[in-house]
Amino acid sequence: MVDSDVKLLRSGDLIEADIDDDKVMMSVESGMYFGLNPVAARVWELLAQPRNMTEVVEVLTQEFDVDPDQCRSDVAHFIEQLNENKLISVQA
Amino acid sequence: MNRSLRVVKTAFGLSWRRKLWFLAMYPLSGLVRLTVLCAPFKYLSHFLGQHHRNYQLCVLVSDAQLQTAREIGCTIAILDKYTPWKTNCMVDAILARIWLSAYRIPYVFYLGAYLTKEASEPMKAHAWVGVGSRLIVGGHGHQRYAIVSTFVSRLLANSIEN
Repeated sequence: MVDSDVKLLRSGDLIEADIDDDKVMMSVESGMYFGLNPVAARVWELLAQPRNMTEVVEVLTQEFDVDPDQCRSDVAHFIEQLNENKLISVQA
Repeated sequence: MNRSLRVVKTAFGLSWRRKLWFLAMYPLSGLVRLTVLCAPFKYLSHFLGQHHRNYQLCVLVSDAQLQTAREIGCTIAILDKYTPWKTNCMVDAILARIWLSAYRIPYVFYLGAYLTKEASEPMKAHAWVGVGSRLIVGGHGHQRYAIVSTFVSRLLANSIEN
């Protein structure tokens, strides 16, 4: 479980492509494909800079019509998925 | 007519060059299929060509090279109908890469994907190969896919026949 206060940064040499409002990515190292819906794609954009989960949720609740608690839960779940796939790293 | 006879009949209906291609591609497609299933992609990717992120590229070829490339694509399309194993876009694209390289024809090898919004298959991926301005294999429906990786023939420096 990723702590909500630690700074996160996206990692991995993924190649990204936007298609409609979605984002598809591929790791040339592993050959794995990843697909992100528009909200997940926005989280991915935000993690181009070190940010903790709280900061990400704050931005999303401003940009999307979403309940903050629901947003926090969804972002936490998504961050866990990124972490399991080694797509994010924890910044000291 | 059973499958073996149909395969032989189809092969004999082709030009001599395409006969040889068909007969050589037939077992090779099975080997390629096995390799795609078993080999880690990081090793397979080195075989596809020189990686150029996901750029959309066009390589310069002569008319003769383009004609040969088209014949290679057509032969692979015929082959797909007769192999007992599943041949997918990746197998076709790798076969095309092998044959184009054998004839020293430069190519661009694309991998693409898109999100389907279907729970059963949330994402689809595809592979296609271009020579000059034409797509040799995998061209049907390729526009639907966003390019996520591009590999270019290492022959690029010597691409035009005299």
